[in-house]
Amino acid sequence: MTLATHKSGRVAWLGVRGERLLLPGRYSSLVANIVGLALAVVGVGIAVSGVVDLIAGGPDVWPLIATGTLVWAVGSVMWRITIVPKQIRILDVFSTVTLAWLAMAIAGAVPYLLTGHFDRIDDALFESISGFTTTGATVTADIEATSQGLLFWRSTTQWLGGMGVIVLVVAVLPTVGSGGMSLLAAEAPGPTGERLTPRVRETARRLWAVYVGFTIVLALLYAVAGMSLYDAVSHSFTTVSTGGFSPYQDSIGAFDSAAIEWICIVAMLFAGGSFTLYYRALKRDPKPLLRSSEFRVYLLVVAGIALWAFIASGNDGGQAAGFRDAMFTTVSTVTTTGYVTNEYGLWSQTAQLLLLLVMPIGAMAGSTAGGVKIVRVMALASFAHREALRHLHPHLVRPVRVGSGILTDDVARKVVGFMALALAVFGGGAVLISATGPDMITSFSSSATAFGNVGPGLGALDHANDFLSIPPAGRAIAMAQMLLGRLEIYPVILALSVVTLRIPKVLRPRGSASR
Amino acid sequence: MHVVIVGAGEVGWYLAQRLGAEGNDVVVVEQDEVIAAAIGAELDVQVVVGSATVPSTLRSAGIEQADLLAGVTQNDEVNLLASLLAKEFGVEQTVVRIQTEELRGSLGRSLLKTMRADVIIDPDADTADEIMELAHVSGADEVYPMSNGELLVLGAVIGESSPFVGHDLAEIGRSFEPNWRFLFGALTREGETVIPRGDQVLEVGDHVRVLTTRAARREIMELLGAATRRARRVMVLGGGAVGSRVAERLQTEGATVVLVDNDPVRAKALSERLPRVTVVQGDIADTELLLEESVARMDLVIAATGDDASNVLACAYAAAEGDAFTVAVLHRLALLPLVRQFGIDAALSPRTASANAVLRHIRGGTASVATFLESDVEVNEFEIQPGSAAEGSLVADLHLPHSVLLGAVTRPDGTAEIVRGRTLLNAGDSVVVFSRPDALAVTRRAFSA
Repeated sequence: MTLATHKSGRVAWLGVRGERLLLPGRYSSLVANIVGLALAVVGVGIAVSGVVDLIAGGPDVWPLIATGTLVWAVGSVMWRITIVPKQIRILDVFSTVTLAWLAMAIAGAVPYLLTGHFDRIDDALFESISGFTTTGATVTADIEATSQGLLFWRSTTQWLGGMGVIVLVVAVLPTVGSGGMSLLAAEAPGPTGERLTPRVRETARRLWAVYVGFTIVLALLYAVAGMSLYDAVSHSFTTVSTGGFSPYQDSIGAFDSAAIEWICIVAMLFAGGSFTLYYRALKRDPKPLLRSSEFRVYLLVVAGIALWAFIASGNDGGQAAGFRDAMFTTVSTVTTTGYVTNEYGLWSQTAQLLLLLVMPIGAMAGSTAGGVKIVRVMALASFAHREALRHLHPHLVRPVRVGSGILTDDVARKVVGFMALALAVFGGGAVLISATGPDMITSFSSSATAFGNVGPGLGALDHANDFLSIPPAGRAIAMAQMLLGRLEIYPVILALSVVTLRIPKVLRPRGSASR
Repeated sequence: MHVVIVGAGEVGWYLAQRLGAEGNDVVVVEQDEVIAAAIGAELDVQVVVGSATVPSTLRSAGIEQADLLAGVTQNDEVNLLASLLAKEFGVEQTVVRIQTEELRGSLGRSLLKTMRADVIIDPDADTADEIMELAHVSGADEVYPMSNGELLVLGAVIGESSPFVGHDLAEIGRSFEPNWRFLFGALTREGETVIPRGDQVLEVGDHVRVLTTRAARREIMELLGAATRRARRVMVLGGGAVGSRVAERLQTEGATVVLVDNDPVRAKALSERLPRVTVVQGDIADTELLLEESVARMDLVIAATGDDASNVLACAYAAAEGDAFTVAVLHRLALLPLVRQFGIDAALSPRTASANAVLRHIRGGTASVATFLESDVEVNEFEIQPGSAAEGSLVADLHLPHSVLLGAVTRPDGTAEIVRGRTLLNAGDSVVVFSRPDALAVTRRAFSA
């Protein structure tokens, strides 16, 4: 890929035309435009949380409204003075998406600091990243002591991060040119960005429409089942996004209601499925959903683990789980939501190990869940099967399949490469976290839960859902893992390579490769 | 009958030969001057050089007087257009060769109705059908279904284990009284094919064609000493129209199939279309590759590439390495007498498969036709019409010539039996007859009013 150079002969820095910086008019910059719009959205979210706090009579009205307005203003200005370039380069796409997520995470951390909720910047950043990446891990010691407005913002970060702010931005942008789909694909969970309509903007809009519709329906169901309006909306936000934040220390368990738990189980299962396929099903084309082999495997995995937890009494004094508890925790973990209702740390070790294993895998591609997605594991299994058969038939020709679908060699290679990277991030992260102090199980499960965007873990992370037991250095690693997990690695590392590429030549060590 | 054949390829050439031999006026339309000259020199047919999509070419082929046009070029479009033009010229019957698989479904059928074409043939599909029949009767080198598949004509070489060796047909017949389940229809020894009589003694290495019921096929193959293992492990060489069809059907029937094709692009497409077939890319004449895919352990090896030499070589190698039953698709009929020397068990040609379908239609009264590759004996099926000589008559009283053998009768209720001299024939029955083409007219007369 060649870097476009402008008339001046200089390499454009992230698309900003240097020679026009001082001239009036709009600057052609993808990164500034998208980051600006994303920040504006975040600002509105913070301000709305301020209004919620106002209604609830909480103490954080002004910090929230002030921060929100400021973030909105900065974002709006960035957005207003720039336009999206006609030609979008793929490298710009990756750096834009990564920078937008960093900007959102930082802006989203500001309210935690200004309200005095956290003293430390890294704690605020952790909570914000955990929110936007729909992880749901927390370093808040006493959730119930926090104002309703701030907790609402906390839930909102997950809702925005679930379907993805970039998808939202593409949906509202007036014009996105040729690179629009790659923007969507860079943020969307799963190996393939699939178009629902010929126009990218329509695709993004429809995905968000399904998402918003689902949120509203679920909030109504929660309210009917006995939640207050505030609780219903908060939990709906963090259920559809498979986030898992709750304004209560005891999570969904705080309601102690079978009805609410069953609604939650079904909703989480739904959120772990492909929104693209849901849209099709809503348009009276349910075949792709029903025939999806990934969908079947997804349901089988849930049923299998829940059944094991339900019947196996454990090999070390662990207990069989109640049926609803088994279902709830399994669905909550497979979909990477992370709500907790029971002490699954008391289950049989095998059941716990199964939970640990599915954490970094997650649910279906095209869902709001984290992890590497079931479809990639299926593709990897098919790939491994093929390579094993090749020992018997050295000249074998065989495609990599997912169910009846066929992955082109191109996609299959990407999947294998991605899985190798995922293993490195997951395993390497576990080692690094354990180097900061925690025991083996805790380190391993914090790596799994962070990379898989789940939330709770095992060992010291058990059920209390908090990363307080992990030292700050370990939390920093978990933060990186959360972002890598949510953006599915490639955009982040490619963005890093873009930054290195664009360090001016004089600053580079002599003899290093120029490209 | 005046017949126009469009395309002097394999199928056209064979059709021209068969129809010419029966005393029809055959005109062949061929675009390639070299091929046109060759067929004109070899066969007693008129040749017109040009494209059959041009009306003037068709006119010079005498299309106005033609009773039948057969469009059998490699090109579907040419065949269809020639058929359409023929209908405009008032030709009563047209035969169209269609190779596009999608045009053979329900959409294709209604399209052909619109075009008023009478018979559709696809040599590749017909060849695949024949290979499947071979796979179903392990050990047979020819299988022709008659009477809607109730009866089969099986070709096989008599093996050493056969109890028939050294006995004449009259003795064999006596040992199977009172009801025969099979009948020897033709016998080939040292290149000579005869319709055998009761005094014919059978020897090891004789190639016989036996008419039997479908249910008794396994038993007959055992008696002939030619039965082989059921085809559970199959290697298909060549993934073209024939090979891929055969591989697909064998796979759905539960066999383990290895499919070899040399074209990487086609191999990839096949691997995507046939999930349970092991697709391997490589040259079928590469013995290393064949060994690698354990050719020695196969039950059945089918070579169906477009290259005769490769097909023969691969089958010969398979026969030498293991004890698989080998089937080779051959496009040049001249090679056929040679293949048994290489240890190849069965050989078939796309042209005869399709030609049989055309002949069946042309002869009107016959339901099934089988022509054999190496001989001029044919099998025909006739329906006995009311008022014919055969109606209400015993077989022995029909006095058919010696070059005609009445083999079996299928009653209107679908039951089939091997005929004896004492068998009574009724109107509505259909009979299977072995004969030489020159005796066909006499035979037909006996069954029609």
